Amino acid sequence: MPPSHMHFLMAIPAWMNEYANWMVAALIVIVGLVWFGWADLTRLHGRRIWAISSVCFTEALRKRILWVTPLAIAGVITVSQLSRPIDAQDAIRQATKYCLFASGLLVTVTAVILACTNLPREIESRVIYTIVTKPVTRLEIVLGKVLGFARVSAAIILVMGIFTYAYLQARNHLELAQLRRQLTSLPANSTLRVAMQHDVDRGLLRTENLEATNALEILGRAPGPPGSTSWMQGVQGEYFLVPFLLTPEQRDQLSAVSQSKSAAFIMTTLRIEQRTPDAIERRMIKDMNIQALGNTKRPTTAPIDDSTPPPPHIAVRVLDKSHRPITGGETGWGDNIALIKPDTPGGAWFAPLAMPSDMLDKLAGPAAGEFFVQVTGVSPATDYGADEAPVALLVPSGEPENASSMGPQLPAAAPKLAKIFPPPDKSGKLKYTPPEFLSYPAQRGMRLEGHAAGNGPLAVYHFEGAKLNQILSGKVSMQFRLNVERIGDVDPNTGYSLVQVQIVNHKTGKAIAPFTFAPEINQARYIDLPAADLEGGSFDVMLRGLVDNQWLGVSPTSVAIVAADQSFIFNLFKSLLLLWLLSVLVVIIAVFCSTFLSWPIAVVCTLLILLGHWGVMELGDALRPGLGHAITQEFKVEDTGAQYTLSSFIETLAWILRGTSNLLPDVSQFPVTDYIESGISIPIAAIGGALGVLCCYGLPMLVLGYVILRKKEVAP
Amino acid sequence: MTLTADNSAVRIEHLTKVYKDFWGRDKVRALDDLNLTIERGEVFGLLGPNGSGKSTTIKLMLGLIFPTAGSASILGQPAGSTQINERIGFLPEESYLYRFLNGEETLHFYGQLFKIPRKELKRRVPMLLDTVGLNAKDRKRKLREYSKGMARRIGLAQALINDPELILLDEPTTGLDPIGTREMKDLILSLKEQGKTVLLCSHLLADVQDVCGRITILFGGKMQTLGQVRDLIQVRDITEIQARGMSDTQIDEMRQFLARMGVSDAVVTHPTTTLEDLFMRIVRERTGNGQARPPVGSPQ
Repeated sequence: MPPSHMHFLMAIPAWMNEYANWMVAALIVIVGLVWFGWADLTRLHGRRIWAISSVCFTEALRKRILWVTPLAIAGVITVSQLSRPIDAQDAIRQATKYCLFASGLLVTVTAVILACTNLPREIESRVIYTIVTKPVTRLEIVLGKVLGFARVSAAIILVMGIFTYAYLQARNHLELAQLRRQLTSLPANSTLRVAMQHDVDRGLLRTENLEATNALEILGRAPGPPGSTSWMQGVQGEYFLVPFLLTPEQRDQLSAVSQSKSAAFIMTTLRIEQRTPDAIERRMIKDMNIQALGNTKRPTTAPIDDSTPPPPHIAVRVLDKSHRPITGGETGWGDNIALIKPDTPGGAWFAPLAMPSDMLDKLAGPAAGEFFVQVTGVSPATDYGADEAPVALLVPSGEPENASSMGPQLPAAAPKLAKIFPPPDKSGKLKYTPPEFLSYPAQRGMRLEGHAAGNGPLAVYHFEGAKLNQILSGKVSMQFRLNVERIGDVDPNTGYSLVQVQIVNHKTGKAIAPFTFAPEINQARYIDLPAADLEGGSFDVMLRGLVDNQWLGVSPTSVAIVAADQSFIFNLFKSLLLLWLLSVLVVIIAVFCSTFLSWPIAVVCTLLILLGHWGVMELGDALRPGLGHAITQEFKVEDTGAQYTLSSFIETLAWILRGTSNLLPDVSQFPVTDYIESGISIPIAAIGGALGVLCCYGLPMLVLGYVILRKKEVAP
Repeated sequence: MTLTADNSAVRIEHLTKVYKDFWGRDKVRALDDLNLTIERGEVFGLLGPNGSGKSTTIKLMLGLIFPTAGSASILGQPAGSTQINERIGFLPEESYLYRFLNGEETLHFYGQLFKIPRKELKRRVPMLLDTVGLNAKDRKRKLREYSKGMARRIGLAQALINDPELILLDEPTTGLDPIGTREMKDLILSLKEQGKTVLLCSHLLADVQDVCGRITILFGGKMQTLGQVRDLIQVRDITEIQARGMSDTQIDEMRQFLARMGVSDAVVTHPTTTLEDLFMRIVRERTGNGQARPPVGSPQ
């Protein structure tokens, strides 16, 4: 059971939870400025603020803060020269990253040290006496300090920005010259030629606006029109998710089922098509049979028939809205469920699966309501087809139910069943929200298994109304960025990766002739396609791995259309702007801490506030709900009282950590290097997000710093 | 707090300050129920040994610390308010200024805090630097290179940048040589002539005696005495006769006359000047130009 404070929090409306930070921020700003500082607010004068900021700025300059920039520059050049990039594009990417990392580190450390030490030092040295005895409000002092150090940060960023641009330009010229030399000596049919030519044509210091996909699906077969059957292959890491959103009445129904100790079911209905297994699938069948016999030692005593596909089985899981499994307390529940053959040929196969009462409690509880049913195909040489609403919940109810549609073998003990279907489709094209076809995670993105025969699963990228700017005359550039992972032995002759691309244009109905290319691990590859083939901007791009024992890591950003070019210097400016916004946040936090703490403590406190959210995010699942239970199990605590105490203590601790981290600013909202190092134009939304964090956390801290300083006796 | 429309420059009523420890317990009673009124246009001396509550009184008047009880009003407004800071000047006991700025930059900075127009600042800054005796070369030097006396001078200049009505001077002569001390005292008297109110806080009694009209002496956070300097230092049972150009014979006759009058232990002798006056006279005679001061910053 969750602690009681969680029940209280769950009762808070969702919109209040979502905007809680903003509401708290607004409350602090309004109360701080109107209640405490109205008089000071009305006396606010820009000239005084500027004068105070100028003193901070002059102090930093005269203490030769900018002299650290040559050190950072020397560090960047050294590290950059020592690094070993894969290719020219990677060299620029790494150099950009080093330059911005050095700038960020320099500006953050400088801001923390300067802003944390300034006010405590002025109080200690009593310089503050001659400031506060002038007609200066404490609000003006806080604002002046923040502005002053923001100006120092801007100066450092300006110097580092000019260096970054000059250094990258120099690297660009050197790398391009080398690329040209390589191109002349490269065989005409080399798979590297296309990408290298693209780099030479367009330069390495480029910035692109990428048009991302509208949706990515991993499917067993090419998709048909909306509403048609979607297929997944068995044993290929594929699965589909069916969303459920329970109404309060439906939750009550589940709760009643749990209390009455009767059964509710997850009913899966699928189309099945099986084929003669190929060599790999035959090996899988053998492995599966051996495991089913509980005998993992070869040779088996009985010959295994691997020439025919095994009976179709599925695995069923229930996941919460964060895609974490909701366990039913039974080991192996839903692992290997046999589908029941339909009476009529060509009908749908089905599998009713009784839900444990623990699971029913969780689904009916206040934390649930929204969950997913995950269905995985586990039989080799088998394709599983999902029609509309392939999963429904069957719940005993007073209403009579025609059970025949669900097949003849429903449990006789539950003659009256109500069906709970997925929520209605938001697009309005279908009756219910369609299942989402995905695959298990790879190191990066989702796994797309490769098959040399060309019949493996497909990653389908749906594009709707994509902008098609012709950057090169008559052609549209498409960017592919895939991860390649190898399993088992790879033939050295065909060891390189190979990907087949098929494109179907929805407007013209034409399929572009499939083509192949060799991806490099997580490196952008560009294919220039005739603009006429993509006319209309609505098309599917389908990727398929063509190498056995190898899979590709695909994510929604793996395939994108280069929609427009943007100048690199403008992108660099946006990146540096993000860095400056981050430095302003750092300065505000540091000034806030320095209003009530000695400077060494203020430095530590500033770093904790800055990195707290990020740190808790890094801990990730380690703080998930259920940690307390897991630890009591791990340490085999048998006493019930001790179990409860330990579990509650750990849960509360984790809850406090998670809650505290939510109150702290998320510095990942300042993506200084993420976009620019990939050559992608920084979206305005990213700058908006950074500004949002700055306002949501910076403004209240500024006001809190003012209120504290206003009440502070500055004479030691 | 009651605001008065009377002629007082400073009105302190039942002002008390108790410093507390981390747990909120009383640690030191630095000022205990002080009542004091300073009239406009007077030079008032706040005297007392170290730890008597002088600096605490000044800090309370400036809003650097907050009173435990009682109140202080300055020029009719609550002490420590930013409005009243427009009309006062403060020279702390040491020149707590930004050491990385030069003399001119310092005055420009403080001038901006008073929103003094740039044009006016350009006129006023050199004038003030002349007044406090900082030459053109020293004005461009960073404050960290200043001697203690020069730092006092620039400190005084920043206190006067806004042409204040009330000037609070905390130990203004600390670190000054005798010439500087005399100049400081002359400046205080000239401020008085301009109709300004000066609150002088010092434990150098000679300084206070020379410039102050009224004084109060604090001890242990409490006021011990208050009144005109001349009344307070007057020795009522001793009469001093001063005359210029008397011969030794005449002095003998004066002694005999006093003996006849029944005054048995009379002392008739030449009065001495103060050491300070003697030093000033010697320096004037040696320089021969009537100027008491060699150029500031030059080897002395």
